Amino acid sequence: MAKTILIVDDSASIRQVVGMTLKGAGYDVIEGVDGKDALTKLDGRKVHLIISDVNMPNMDGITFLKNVKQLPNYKFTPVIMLTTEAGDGKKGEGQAAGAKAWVVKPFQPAQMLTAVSKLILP
Amino acid sequence: MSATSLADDTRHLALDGPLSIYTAADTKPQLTAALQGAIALQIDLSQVEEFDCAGLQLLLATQAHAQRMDICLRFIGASAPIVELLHLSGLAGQLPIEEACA
Amino acid sequence: MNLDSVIGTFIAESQELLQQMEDALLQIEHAPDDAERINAIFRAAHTIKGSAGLFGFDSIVAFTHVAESVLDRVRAGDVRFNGDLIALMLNVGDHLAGLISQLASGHDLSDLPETTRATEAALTGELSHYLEPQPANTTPAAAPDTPTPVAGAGHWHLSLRFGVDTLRNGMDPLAFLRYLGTLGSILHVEPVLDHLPPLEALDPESCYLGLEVAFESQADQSAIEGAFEFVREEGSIRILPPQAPLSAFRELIAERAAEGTAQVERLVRCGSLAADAFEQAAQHNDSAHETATTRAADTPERAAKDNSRTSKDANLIRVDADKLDQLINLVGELIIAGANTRMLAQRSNLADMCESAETLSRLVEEVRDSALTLRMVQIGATFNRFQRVVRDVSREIGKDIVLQISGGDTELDKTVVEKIGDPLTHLVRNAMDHGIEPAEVRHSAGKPLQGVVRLNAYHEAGGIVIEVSDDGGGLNPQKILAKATQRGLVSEGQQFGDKDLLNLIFEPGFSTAEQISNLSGRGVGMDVVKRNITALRGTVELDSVLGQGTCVRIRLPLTLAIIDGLLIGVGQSSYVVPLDMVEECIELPSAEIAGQQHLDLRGEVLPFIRLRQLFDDQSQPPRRENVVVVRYAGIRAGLVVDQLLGEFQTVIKPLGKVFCQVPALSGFTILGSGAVALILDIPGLLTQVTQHANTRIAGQSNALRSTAQ
Repeated sequence: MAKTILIVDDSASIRQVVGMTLKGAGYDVIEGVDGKDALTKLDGRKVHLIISDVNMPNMDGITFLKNVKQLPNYKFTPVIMLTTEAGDGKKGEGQAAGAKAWVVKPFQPAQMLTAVSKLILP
Repeated sequence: MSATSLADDTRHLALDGPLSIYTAADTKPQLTAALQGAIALQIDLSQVEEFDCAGLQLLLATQAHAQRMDICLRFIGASAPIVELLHLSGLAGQLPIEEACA
Repeated sequence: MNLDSVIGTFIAESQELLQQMEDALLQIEHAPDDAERINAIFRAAHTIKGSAGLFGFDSIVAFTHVAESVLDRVRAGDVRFNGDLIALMLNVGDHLAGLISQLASGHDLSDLPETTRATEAALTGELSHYLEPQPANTTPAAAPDTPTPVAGAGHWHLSLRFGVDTLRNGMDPLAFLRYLGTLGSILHVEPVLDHLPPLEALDPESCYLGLEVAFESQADQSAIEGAFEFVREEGSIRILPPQAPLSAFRELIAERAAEGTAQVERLVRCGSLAADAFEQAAQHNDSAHETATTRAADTPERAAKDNSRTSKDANLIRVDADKLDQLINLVGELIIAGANTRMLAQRSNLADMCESAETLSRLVEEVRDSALTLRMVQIGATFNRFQRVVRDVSREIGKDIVLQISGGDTELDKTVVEKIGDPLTHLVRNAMDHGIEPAEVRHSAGKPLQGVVRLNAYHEAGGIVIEVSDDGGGLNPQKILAKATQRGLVSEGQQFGDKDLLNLIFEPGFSTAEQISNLSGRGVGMDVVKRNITALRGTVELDSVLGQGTCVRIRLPLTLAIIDGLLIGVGQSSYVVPLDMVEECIELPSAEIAGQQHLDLRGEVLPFIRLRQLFDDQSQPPRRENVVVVRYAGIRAGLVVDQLLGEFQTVIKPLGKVFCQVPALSGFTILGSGAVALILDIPGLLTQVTQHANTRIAGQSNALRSTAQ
């Protein structure tokens, strides 16, 4: 079975483009529109990787990540965080929460695919 | 998961499902218990469905422990994920797994 | 990948964000320190920049980046919003809106009018006043690694030690090896177990494994180093390019001194270091090595795809689904109010008034129809998703199966489309898994080796029919009967038609697969499908010809909101029957005796239900009763009622929790007079009728009877 990736971003176009890219490469993709919504997608199904934006309404990416780390079935899921320039103060906070993989926005679809393949192949 | 002792002093332990970072913390005590006071131990891996670095480390540490305590340890029945990872990590020679026999 | 299909989303999203940004800017005048609003403004700029980058609109990225940097300073408290900055940001928003509409009209961003360029330059200049003077380092797009250029295939040596938390962070050292495999070929791997503690001291979630890897690749150093970008900080990743000088190995061995000679041996076993080379290393001078080579310019394929965009996107408006729901709700109320007016008009006996009310009703009906179409979407997109499912599953189970799609342009309510995905997935997988036979069986049956699964949709009698069919082995009714008997779903000796037998597989606790596979047939199955579809006021049935295939037919209402109904009266109560299920109305022949359950309709047996009995209405039946003949999914029955009150547009309101278990009702509606009428669940009632018939024929108690929910 294809590996499943959860993409969490409040921008529909980012979700769509990243989704298309990853699906084209053979991954299954599910989407969350913010941290809160994404938590409801972690309902027991196997998720092999999470891609999450940091700055989102309702629940930001860091809080989402902290929540994921509390879920027995998901706490070891690799997480790619999307961030603005490296200087974003959120990065330290995210790293403390266990996010080691960062991709800087704006990125090209191919860059995202590369980042994902480093962690899991389809 | 089951551990049984047969008449010939060989203990049997069968691992199944994922042997991964998600289960490593639960699997270690089972391995420790199976090794405790054993003369010979046979671990059946044929039903292991998921295998990663955490699982690999556990098996290696189990092997090292058995050697130190002079326990005759045999791994039998490599499932496909195990074969793939052993090959990838260059450990296929160091961690021999015998064919499962009925 | 074709980005054009999503560009519309980008345009609509950006326009929406710019609107939000403008609204927030206008409000922030009154509360310049409102952190939430500042963040909303920042996020708008941030998201536009991020999305624009994804589409390769670099000029938008560059411009938005400057604005975002200023907003970031506001967020950090270094700069405060005042009238000037708000005005500037409003202009920034307007400029961005201009760029977006340029895209929306299908133009290229590279041929902007001169005035637009001038505006952009001026705005950038003004924005930069709010930024700290800094070394010109505002290149937004990522180009993080400045690699040492090395070309040509060759023998790389990678020495990898990982941070202790690597596994806990969800990363697996061995996954990086898999990724390396996509960049070149792994020649040799030496596991480093030196740091693995004894079992009793081992923390099962910590990472102790190290790797020494000999690797052959054409990739440049940045690409190979990049493989480890997520673990570089925590671990110790050393990458030696081909023909690395001995001094580099010396450094590496020094760094891994704790591992002693074992590390040297590993380097030798990897073939990265000649056995005698290390001894000679001391006197070796290696300055002449650095051979700079030109790196292939990595031109991304972003190119100028911008201009081919059609202006079709510009004609689409994204509407909040809630707004649509509200509209449809209001149209519903309008229909009720219209019905009331019409009733009053008729009562008033004023011809002009009646005529006017009729016109109004007709218009309201048109408004209703066009409002409902707003929610209608084509099922094609849902169907197309299954191409992927079929491709993946057929590969996984080793069967050659092709998916054929027809009727993709059939429209139905968005809510229904959203909810039909799961049941369809199950049915498609079932068809692939249990329907299509293995190749050898197909071969011996003289069938083409490639199996076919079909998805089809069409409109029928005010509803939509979705078919999932396959050309597989079909179902054996006798086998199903045996299984159902064994499972205690039917009693021994009960008589069934073949079709009824086949549909037993929708009973809870039934599973036809003799071999349980990984995809379907784990015992949960068709009953769940049926439950999901019933919840959408739909029905599901199955046809199968042994040896030729199976077809599952799902019937769904077009919309969940409004129906045309026939209003009927029993005693003091009113009920509504969906009009598209009504075949005809007749008078109940007086010859029919009270105890009888069926009547003779032009020579055919018509079972009927007395609503008075069904709802336990204690009132006296009138002298003449009527029969409404209804038909659904091929089953026909009569409903005995007191009066026929005429056609009526019905806005379906859901029943409260207390009533949703009542089998014969699907909702209620409010009449023009303000009274309540209950909407009859005709599919549910018909199921009861057929079950009654079955149990009667078999002379058995109601073993099969289940409530239709």
